Amino acid sequence: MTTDTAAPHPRLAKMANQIAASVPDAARSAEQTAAHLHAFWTPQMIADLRLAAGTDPERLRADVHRALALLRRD
Amino acid sequence: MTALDDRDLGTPASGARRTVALSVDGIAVEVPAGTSVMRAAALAGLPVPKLCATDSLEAFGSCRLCLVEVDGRKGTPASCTTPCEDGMAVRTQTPRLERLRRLVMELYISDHPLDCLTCPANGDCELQDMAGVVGLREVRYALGANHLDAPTDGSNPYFSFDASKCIACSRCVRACGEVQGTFALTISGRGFDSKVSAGADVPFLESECVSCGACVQACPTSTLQEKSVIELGIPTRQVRTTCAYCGVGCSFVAELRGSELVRMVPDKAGGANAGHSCVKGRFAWGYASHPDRVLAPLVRESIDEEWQEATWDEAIGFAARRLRQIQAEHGVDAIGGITSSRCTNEEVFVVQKMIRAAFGTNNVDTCARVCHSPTGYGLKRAFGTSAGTQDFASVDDADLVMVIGANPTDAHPVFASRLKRRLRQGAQLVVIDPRRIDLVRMPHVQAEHHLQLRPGTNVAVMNAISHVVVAENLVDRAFVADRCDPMSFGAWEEFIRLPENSPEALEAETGVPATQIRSAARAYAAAPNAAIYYGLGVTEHSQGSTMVMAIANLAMVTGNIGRAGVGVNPLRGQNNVQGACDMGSFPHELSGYRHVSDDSVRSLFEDAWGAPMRAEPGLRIPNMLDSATTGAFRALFIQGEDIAQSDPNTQHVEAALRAMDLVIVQDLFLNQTARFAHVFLPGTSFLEKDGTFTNAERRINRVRPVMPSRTGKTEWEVACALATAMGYPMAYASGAEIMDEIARLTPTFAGVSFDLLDRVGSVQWPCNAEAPVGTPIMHGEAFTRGLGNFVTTPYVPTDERTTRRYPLLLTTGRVLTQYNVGAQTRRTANTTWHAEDVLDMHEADALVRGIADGSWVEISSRVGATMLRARISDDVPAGVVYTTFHYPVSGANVVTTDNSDWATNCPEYKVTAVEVAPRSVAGAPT
Ligand code: SF4
Ligand code: SF4
Ligand code: SF4
Ligand code: FES
Repeated sequence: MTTDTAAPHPRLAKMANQIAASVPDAARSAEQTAAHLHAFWTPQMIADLRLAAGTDPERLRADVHRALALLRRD
Repeated sequence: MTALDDRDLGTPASGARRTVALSVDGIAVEVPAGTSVMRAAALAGLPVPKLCATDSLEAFGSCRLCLVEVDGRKGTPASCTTPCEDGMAVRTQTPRLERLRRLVMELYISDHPLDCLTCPANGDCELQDMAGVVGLREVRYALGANHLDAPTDGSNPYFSFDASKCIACSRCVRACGEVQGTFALTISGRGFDSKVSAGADVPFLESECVSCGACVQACPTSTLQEKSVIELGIPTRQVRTTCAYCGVGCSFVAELRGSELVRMVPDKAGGANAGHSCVKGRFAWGYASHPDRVLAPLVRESIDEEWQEATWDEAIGFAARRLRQIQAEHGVDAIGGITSSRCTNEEVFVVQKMIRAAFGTNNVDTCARVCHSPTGYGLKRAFGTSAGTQDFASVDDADLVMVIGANPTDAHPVFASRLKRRLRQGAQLVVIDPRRIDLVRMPHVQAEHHLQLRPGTNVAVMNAISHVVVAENLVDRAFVADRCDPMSFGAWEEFIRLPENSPEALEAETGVPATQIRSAARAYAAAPNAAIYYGLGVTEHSQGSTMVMAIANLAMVTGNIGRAGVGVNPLRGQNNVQGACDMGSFPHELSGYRHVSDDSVRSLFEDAWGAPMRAEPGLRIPNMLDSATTGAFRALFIQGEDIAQSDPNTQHVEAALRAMDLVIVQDLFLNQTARFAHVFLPGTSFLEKDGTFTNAERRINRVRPVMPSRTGKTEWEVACALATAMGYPMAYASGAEIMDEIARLTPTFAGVSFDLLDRVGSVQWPCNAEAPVGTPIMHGEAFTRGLGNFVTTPYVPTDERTTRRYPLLLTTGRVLTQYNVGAQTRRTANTTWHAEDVLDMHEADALVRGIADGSWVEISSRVGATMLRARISDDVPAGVVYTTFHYPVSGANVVTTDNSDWATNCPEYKVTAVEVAPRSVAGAPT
């Protein structure tokens, strides 16, 4: 069950970057970011972030890209 | 005057464990050592006449009415100031005592107006009662010099001071000092010349008085009298209930004549307030009958149209049809709702159930998102429970109190009174706040340490404090070894030792001299019991959650958890923030903070509710608003909140609301958000509700209906009707039945019922088989999660930086007399004290900008601009400006940005880079 596929809100990328910069363990930021997104974001928000990662990869930190890859694997 | 049914034992209870045995008029009594003879006699059912004594105040011994005889002792000691001793034989009624008491009364009455029949306190006056008790039949003194022409001070909007009736008992003066801690009143002169005055003999309104009413409650005569009693008469019946303003959750006795509320008297049996209150709870309840109340449902097709009054069935049918239609067109998750911290647990529970079961989505959030969501996140990670660890009474055992980002004397006044009492007894105080809040220096209170940090650097300061604790070997190794997770502690210890976390390394960033941080850290670690109290100055930051965990780390590393006098205590803003969170209002959690992905929890709810539960989190408020602007999210049910005024970046909120196809507002008044609504469902005030509130100390208090619902419906009935109209039948017979369902589905509430609360007064959750009457202090033997979890808390500066264009930092807060967006308090006489929001700025900042005290200024940030009047104040340091957000016209949130806490999206209200410029009155808001 998803909602309309409107264009993702630009704030998602900012939020994801902020999460990756703020999780407790910088060495495991990708894993911790993935866990955080899984626990607190809707599937649609994660899908939208993935869309943003595809269209504008530069806007996301590397560990956010890795977190998205980890989430795909789950 | 005290509540009508108050049983006043004359002096406070003694806390001693040892008891003493004595006899009073031949009756054997056993009382704790230190109990006064007056109290022992009252406990034995033999009350001694009294005037200057009342059991909320220490004995004073001035009126000499309470004389008794004690076998083997000469004279007639005052029973209020005489402590009981083993073997004492007391006599309270002898011919000699009766004669002496009549003499005393005669003297009082000879200088008192004899207008009892027309006095507003007639029937509720201790002087009148005592005259009867001592059998006064005549006054033999001729009228000589007297005070009968003394003037009345009516300057306070809620009570008057008729000096002609004053008996100089000093109860008011002592109440203002001992109970409230403001010391606004003095009694000057001696004997006949004794005279009560506020401040330097100015009217009450011009004095330091904060209108808490403690003096009115303490006054045994009609000298200090509620104006509502003067106007309406002595009340005739009572209903016990709970204040609906702040998170202290004071218990009150609502006193009425018929169905008309006459006054609110704080309940001495109240677990949170023990008979005290502030100006809001005691006096500011008139909004419930304000003409602005909307009492019938309103509907309109579009927000550009006028509202049309509708029947309940029409309004609910319209809302249900539109909601289903939007879901059919845009998906199930295109709608959602927000629950309110001002509503009862029962109302909140029903609304989140409606959203999860009838709407079929987890898109439910609560206004705690914008205040204490980081508390929930942080304390759950650290301790395993999303709540404060202590009861308020715990502060009585604290040796050091650290207040971080909170301003209790304004925002949590009754707790502040308790705290000030402890500070007067000698506890040390550490204040961490960019502003010089009142607690830093006020009568008989002075903070030993004030760490005046730059806004946005909380985590850096807390890390520096913990660094000192670890580096200087002040760690409570035994506690850490016994109670905490060793792996997490090891990693944290390594992190916190890093030189980059030292006070010296962070001094330039935080603006706090390293020596100050070191001495505050040493004091905290050395105190036998150190307690932390914090507020929104901790949570409303981009690192709000990190800061909560940093606080938890400090408490754990020093062993300050799990007993009286210590702990980590969030001071919640609104009355039911704790409860709204407990009730499953977060999009990722069902009631009792259980994640929606937990299959066993979900199946419990699915079985109980007969509806599928979604396993993925829903949208939070900011996500809903963002999605509304992109067109994905299209309808919102808003219970009792005014997000267009309270949430940050007003333009963005308004754009999101305007973009939605349907906005349903359930509230008392047509608030700012209602400008964008299509359906308005009138709500009920706390005086009409039947349910429970949960305060900041997890205390579940009953809210009892003082009057019938003015809308003809309870709020939960309306939510049930909407769910039913959407095809998911929901119905309850009473609030009690809803609580029974909450208890069945929520382990921490398992033992709670209205029956239990009516029997024991209140309980603090967890309340279940292991703790049948609740848990005042948590984590006693072990943490809820087992071992305490240290989380490393690297400091990440906020993106919100000052620049040449925006060189000042704006931080926001609240004032004593107003509450949140002011919808209630602005509709009361509390506007006497705070008629508009103002911008506090330091003289140096004002000077370079050519801004004078009281002049209009424009304040602008990267997202917007608004106008306010400036107040030059040295409470804020240079570089920082401060305002409140109680008035829509000043629009403080027009300038706050949509930066937010990384973990919870709690907005960063406390840090906005701004510029302030003088403006002419022409552009000022009207
Ligand atoms: S109302 Fe409160 S603050 Fe004011 S004088 Fe009375 S006790 Fe003091
Ligand atoms: S105002 Fe009331 S409480 Fe105060 S001294 Fe006079 S009689 Fe006593
Ligand atoms: S506003 Fe808070 S402190 Fe004041 S009476 Fe109400 S609950 Fe108590
Ligand atoms: S009541 Fe004891 S001296 Fe007044």
